[in-house]
Formats: sequence, structure tokens, C-alpha cells
Amino acid sequence: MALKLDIERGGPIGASGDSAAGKGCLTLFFMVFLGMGLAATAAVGFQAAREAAVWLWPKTPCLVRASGVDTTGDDAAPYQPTICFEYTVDGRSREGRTVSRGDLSSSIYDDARRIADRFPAGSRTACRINPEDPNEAVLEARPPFIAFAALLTLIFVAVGAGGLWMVWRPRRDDQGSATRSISQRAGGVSGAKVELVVGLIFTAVGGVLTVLLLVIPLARLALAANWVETPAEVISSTVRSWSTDDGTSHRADVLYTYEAGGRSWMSNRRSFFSLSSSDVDDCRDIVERYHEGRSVSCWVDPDDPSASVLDRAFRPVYLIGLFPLVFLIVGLALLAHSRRRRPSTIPGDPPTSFGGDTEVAAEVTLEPASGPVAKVIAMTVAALLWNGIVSIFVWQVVEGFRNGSPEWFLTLFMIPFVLVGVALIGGVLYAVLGVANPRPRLVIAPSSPRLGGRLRLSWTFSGAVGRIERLTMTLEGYEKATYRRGTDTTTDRDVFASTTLVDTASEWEIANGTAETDIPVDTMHSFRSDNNAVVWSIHVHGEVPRWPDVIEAFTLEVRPLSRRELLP
Amino acid sequence: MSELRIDLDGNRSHFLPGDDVAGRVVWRLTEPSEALELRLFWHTSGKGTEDVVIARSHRFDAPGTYGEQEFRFRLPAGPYSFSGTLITLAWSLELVSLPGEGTERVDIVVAPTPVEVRLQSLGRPPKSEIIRIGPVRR
Repeated sequence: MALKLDIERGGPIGASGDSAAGKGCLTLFFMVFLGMGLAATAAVGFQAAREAAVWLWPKTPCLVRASGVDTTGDDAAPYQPTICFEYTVDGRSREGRTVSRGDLSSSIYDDARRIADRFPAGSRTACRINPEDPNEAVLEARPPFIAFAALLTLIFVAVGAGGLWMVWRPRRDDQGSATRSISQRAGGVSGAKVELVVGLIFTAVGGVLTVLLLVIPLARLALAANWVETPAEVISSTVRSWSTDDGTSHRADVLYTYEAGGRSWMSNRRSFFSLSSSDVDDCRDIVERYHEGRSVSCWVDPDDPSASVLDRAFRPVYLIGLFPLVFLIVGLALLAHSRRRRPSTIPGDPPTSFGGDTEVAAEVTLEPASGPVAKVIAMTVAALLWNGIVSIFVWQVVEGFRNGSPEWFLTLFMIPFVLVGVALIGGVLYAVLGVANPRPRLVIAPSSPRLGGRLRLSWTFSGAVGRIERLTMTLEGYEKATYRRGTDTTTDRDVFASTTLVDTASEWEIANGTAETDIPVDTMHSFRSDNNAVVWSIHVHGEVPRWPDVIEAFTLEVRPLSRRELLP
Repeated sequence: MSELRIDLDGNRSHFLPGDDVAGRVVWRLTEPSEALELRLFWHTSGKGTEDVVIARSHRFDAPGTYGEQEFRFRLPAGPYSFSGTLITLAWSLELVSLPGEGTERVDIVVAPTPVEVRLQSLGRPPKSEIIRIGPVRR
């Protein structure tokens, strides 16, 4: 822990034996990261260079002898285009079989077939010849998309190099003096900057994945509503299995054929959202359902007969795309919040004068921290997200019971999640009822009272104020400290001052009235920095029988003492 | 071994907001420094992540290996030096040799009272933060 704190605060590492050992471990750890990243980046760069080099190769005419789709023998990507073409170099005829230097194998039959369809047998086209080896020729020069993989490998390089820099960076404040500078840490990585960076990452990753996993599949599903039902026959049905870092993945691969647009087509697209699974039994069920030789119906795009799908019904699996949507929403919320955060301020502080004596407005209408409509929106979004995700697994549970093979572990595991979902729905209803409540309007004078000064409050209610049975208003001052614990950001609050302004059950006093109080002089004025604050607020609580209470908080600015008040 | 020193007039350590903080900085460096910077700042400690804000600063360019200079800063209206349950806010003056071979710091109290403001906890979060299940009746 001490070592971690030293790194975060920029203090010297190596001041003790423990931290010296930690420095060695960290160096080794980050060097492994850097080494892996560099090796992977070099491999990616080498392959990208190989693929890009094709653009410089000379072109020569060629004749396509054969074209089709073949299997690769790799269950992870079992299909690849196979094209045989003939070309002549130096008066000698040669045969080529390479479409491009990149890997064109795919788990989707249609992908391989589309490439093969671009080079039909008997057609004449141009191929590119390797000037250093005329026996190597390719039909296409493709952009080296593999270079994008470097974005991933460079993360390892950045973590490794950044970590080593953090461990070994020279420190300005630990040489020649026993005192370590605190002021050097001013203007460092503030909470707003962290929020901005994390928000950008979440928004970018969540946005891309939401488009890929939610928007595109659902859009395709919607477009397929106009596709034409067409007879088809399953010609091959098998469970594909391959090893991954997490074990073995499986996919049911159902290859079917159909007639459309005057020719025969093959495809293995079962739905618009296809995921591999770790559950081989699910895949076997699908293979049994679509067994070889079975006559089925597929849905064909009338504008593009090569596009088809076996199942165009909406399935719960499409909701998996809600996961990245959560990331996107969190990212956008972080970005919005980082924009709302003001920089650290010194209250009333023009640099050339004593800011504590500046004039303020006579009175001001306070804004509630969050209105009832905002509460409804927040609760609804939370309930939709939570229950949308939970419903996917609840569906699995229900399906298990319907099929006579209940998944008991999943059922028990889901109970607390479902209860939270029900509570959130209850919260939405509670918030909706709260919208119908009377709304308080608070005016204070002066607009920014001083410590020790008089605060005059006047209030009115809009709406059915007669429903409020009892009204209390409390002026509170509290500390607010935000800190990070692991990956979580937590905010603690602690009240140091509390004064009851109003406590009445009188109907006419509830409807409108005034109250006065002195701000305690021996406390702290309002203050706010990136992670710490002293907040003064008026808490309104109206008790409504058999209905959600009126509960709102209004923040006000309490200023320091004026210079005149300070001097004897 | 370099020596940096901050001497406050009258050896004061307590100031009212709006007071002038005045004194003299003295330095004897083993090697010439690019500059010295005197900073008046506050920083937080406690449960929250640390915040550091420089209120005033003065830079002494090409100070040579030894010398002394007088300074005077006017303190702002706040924030006060205070200590609560979650947060402690303290003011300091710091003399830093740039690009960073030494630091000297003097802590001061900026408050209306002779000591920092002490906030006594009422032992609860604000009422608006208390989650209620159902209506509250007294």
C-alpha cells in the first residue's frame, strides 16, 4: 500500500528496503508488458508491411480457371474463397491460387462466397506479380487492415513504457532537500480530467460496440421484415469447436441452399446475431433442429438474392447489445459531468483586492439539486438498463423451466438481481407519483449570506399544497469528500451544522411563509475544489399521507466573513 | 547541501483572511538554479483525494548560488484553514528551486480564529442523502 501511495503522489520510491524490492518487481512487471507489446507490435507491423507491399507489385493479365468456396479445416473460420488463375511471366505460363496476402478465411460462408463471386471462372482480370518471385501472384491488393491490431498491441507498449517511466522518472523534489514539495502537485491530474479521459474511452468503446452489437443487428432485423420467404434445404449441419484463451468455444454451423434470382445460392446465416457459445449442448440442439437434408424456409432479400437468413424473429440474444449501451451511457454521463465541474476556486478572489467584501444580489431564487422530473428520468433509465440486462438471463431461466430442464444454479443466482430490478420499478412508480406533488419555491436574502450573517428565507408552493400534512425545512452544512477506492469513486458526506428553519403542521403556514436564522459564525463557509467541498443546503421535507413525500434540497453559497468583520 | 529558508516577519504563523503575508527568502545553493519560486497555496488532506491550489506565486529568475529577497502576498478571503471529520485544509508557503533541486515549506493558519476552524460532526449524512423506504413519521 505504501508503495502504491508513493507512485500516485509522485513521491520517491526506494526510500526503504521494501520499496526498493517493490521497484524491482514493478520494473520486471512493466518490462514484461513492454516486451510483449513490442513483440506483438513488430509482428503486426511485419504482416501489415507484407500486405501493403503488394500495392507496389506490377500488374499482368490473368485468366480465372476455377472459382468457389472451400473449407479450411479450422473450425473458428471454416470457409475461404478458392480461386485458381493462370498468368504469364517471361513467356512462361504459371498458376496462382492466392487472392490476397491477408487472411480471407471466415466463419460466415457469405463472406467467402462474395469474394469468389467477384472472380467467376472463365473471366479475365489482372493479377499482381511479386517482382522478386514471379511464382507468387495475388488477385487483389487490399488495404493492410491488420495494422489496426497495433492499436491493441500499443496499449501493452504504453502500459509497459508508462509504468517504467513512473517507476524510474527523476523527481524534482527529492534531491538535496528533506522536504517534499506539495505545491508541485497543483494542477495535476484533476478529477475532471480523469472523468474526461475515462468518459471518452467508455463513449468510444461503448459507442462502437453498441453499433456493432445492437444497432446493426436490429437494423438488419427490421429490414428483413420485407424479405421473401423461400424454400431451402439444409445440406450440412455440424458443431464447430475451437480452443480459445477461456476454454473451448462452439458454434452450430448450418449450411443451406436455396434458389433465388435464377440461380442457386448457399449460406450459413441463421440469424443476424450469431455468437459462439461455451455450451456445446445448445449447439447440438440447433444442429438436431436443422439436420442435414431437412427442408426449411429461409428469408431472401428481393433486391439482393445472395442475402438470406434462416430465422428473422426477434430473440432475447439481440439484447446482449444492451451491455455496451450501458458503457456508452456511463461514458456520456462522465463527459457531461466533467464539463459541469468547475475548476477549484478561491471564493471572491480577484487577485488585486480582498474578495470577501464584494457586493452580492439582494435576493435569489434557489434551484433544487434535482427536480421530480429528473428523478423520474434517472430512475427510468436505471430501471430499463438493469431490467433489460437481467431479462436476458431471466429468459434463459424461464426457457429452462419450459423445456423441463431448469437451471437451478442460474435461478438462485438471479434472485437478488431480479429483486433489485423490482425495487427499481417500484422506484420509478414512486418517482412518478412524486411528480404530482406540490413544488416548493425558495427565495433567500441575501443571495450569498456570510458566516455569522442573517439568512431570510421565504417560500411558496405550487400545486396541491393542501396535501402536505407537515413541513420541515432545515439548513445544513456538510463536508463532502470524493475519493477513489480501486476502480470505484466514492463520495462521503458528514454534517457539521444543522438548524431547523421551519417545522409546522399549520396549513396556512405550509402554503407560504418566511423564516430567519443566523449562519453559525464559528463554522466554515462554502468551498469547493475538485475532490473536496463544504456545502450549505436547505432541505425541504413535506409529509404527504399515503403518497410519496416532498423531498428536495437547495444549495446556497455561504461567504466568508468580510474584512471589516474580521478586524477588531 | 543546498539551503532554502523562508523567514516570516515577526515569526507569525497565524493570519486573518486579507492579511499580508510578508517576509524574506534566503538561499544558498551548491549549483546555480534556473529560478526560485515562492508559492502561497492551500491543500487538502483526509478522506478525499488531495486537492492543491496555488493562490499566489512569485518567481526569482537567475538567483545565483546565494542571495535573499523580501516578499509580500495578500491573502484571499478564503478558504479558511479548517479541520473536519472528512477534510483538513491547510495553507503553506513553499520555496522551490527550479527545475527542482530543493524545497522549503512553512505552514500557516489562515482563519478568523487563532487556530484553524474545527468542524464538529453531527454523526450523520445530510438529510437529502438519507434513503427512505416509505414515509417518515415522527
